[in-house]
Amino acid sequence: MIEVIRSGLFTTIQDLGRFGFRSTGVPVSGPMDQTSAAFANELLQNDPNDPLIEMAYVGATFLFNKSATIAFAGAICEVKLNNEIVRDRSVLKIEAGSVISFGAMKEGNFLYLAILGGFKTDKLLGSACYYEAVNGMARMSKGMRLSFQADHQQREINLNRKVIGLNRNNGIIEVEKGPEFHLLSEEDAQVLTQTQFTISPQSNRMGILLNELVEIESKEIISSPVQAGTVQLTKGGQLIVLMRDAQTVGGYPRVLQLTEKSINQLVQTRFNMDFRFELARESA
Amino acid sequence: MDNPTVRKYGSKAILIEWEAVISPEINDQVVKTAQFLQENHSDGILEVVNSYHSLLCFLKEKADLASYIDICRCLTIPISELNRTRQIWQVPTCYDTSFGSDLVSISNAKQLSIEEIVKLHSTGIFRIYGMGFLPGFLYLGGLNKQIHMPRKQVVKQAVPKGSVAIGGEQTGIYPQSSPGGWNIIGRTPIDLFNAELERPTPFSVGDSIQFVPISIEEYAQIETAAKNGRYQLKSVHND
Repeated sequence: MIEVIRSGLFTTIQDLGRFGFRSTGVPVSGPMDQTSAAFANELLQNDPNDPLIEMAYVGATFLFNKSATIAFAGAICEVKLNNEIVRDRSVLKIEAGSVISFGAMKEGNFLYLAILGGFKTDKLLGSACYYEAVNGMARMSKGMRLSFQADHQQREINLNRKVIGLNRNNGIIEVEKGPEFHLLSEEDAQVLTQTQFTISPQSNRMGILLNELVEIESKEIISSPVQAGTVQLTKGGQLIVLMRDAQTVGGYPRVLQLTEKSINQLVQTRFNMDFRFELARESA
Repeated sequence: MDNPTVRKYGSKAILIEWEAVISPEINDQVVKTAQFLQENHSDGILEVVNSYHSLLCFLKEKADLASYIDICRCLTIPISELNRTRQIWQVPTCYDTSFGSDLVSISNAKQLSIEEIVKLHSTGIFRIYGMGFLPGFLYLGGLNKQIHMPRKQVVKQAVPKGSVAIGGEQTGIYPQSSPGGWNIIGRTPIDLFNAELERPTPFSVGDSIQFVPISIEEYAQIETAAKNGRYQLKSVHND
């Protein structure tokens, strides 16, 4: 068992996602940065679908009341094990009674903490992902307890793996044309691909809001299916990039669609970093 | 009816779109195509989301996108597949003003008595054109023009679960307690969405619903029965 001592800003459990229920309005959920989450599980030779912890913007603190092997990947922050700073390592053996704390993210926004064998949590509709309307769980709170498989699985885990840097976007987020892209004039399309955008702190697991408004007229469309990575053009000219917990149907024009790689890059982009959208070659 | 357009949307999904019109005939095509794809191509298709005039077909990791685009472009659905019994679900709804907190303001705005509003609402048959926005939320078509009512300026922070409401030209039911700006006219004691069930919602796109007026006493009885798993939502065939 581990106990949540400090909950962090928005800490959740995620696995690969909740599939098969999108037709009833249930989002897929899953890690915001799938690459980093997959890497954390891989460091422990876990199953890719093993539930892990996602921490957003400000990390959490956990007390272990039995020994465990953990791995973390994604955003970079100060990590302390029993008040000692952990340097250059991303796989740790934890003794019973230890406290591990994750500070505010310094590079990137989302950090993943995997545990050997995965966290054991109830699954609803085939997944452990937190999503309030399905399992009543929005985020972790202080005092919560999480169970995991006892650490007696004999795996040869490399305990000397260094922290791997994030997959950065270099100021460019690759996109494809969305279903309503063709409704834009040539000038509108240029505005979309030439504007330097930044991310609003109002963003969450449902959607990333962009600060810069575009002067493009948006007409409502008949509510149509959407997915993670869809860029919606709202009435006020604000762009919303739908994320893992987004609704399954939406009524705003779907002007662009991020690639899987660019979703994972965008979620790790800091509020003060600007970027622009670039149409992928096959889509241009 | 024109053939739908078929194209890639997202890394592993195909969007099929008919003419952008809200009509039962087009929505029928959407529903039938979705059903046909799921029944005949489940080896490569993960799930399908359908709404009004379009459907989005998500593929499994191993499926080849280009071949499935070809399959979707060449679909010919046998006539026999086009017939399926549709349900009209009878949703018990209490229109008491203790639940319908905006009935009085609609009554004033529309110069209709509350009884007239309830009658206009509960005699309608509303087609389910889509599901989404929130788990179990139904996009319903067919609200009588006389009770169209603009959304409220101020969003209510917590509209109670089960609230039946009018937003512009639409009517709907809040499947969970959530913020909302629609005008609330009543409440249903039944669950629209229950994640504990294998099929979390009884409804399908293409079905219809009808709001059946109940008293406060009946509301309490149905609520207790539903909590104990003893309430069976009634439906009639729509042939």
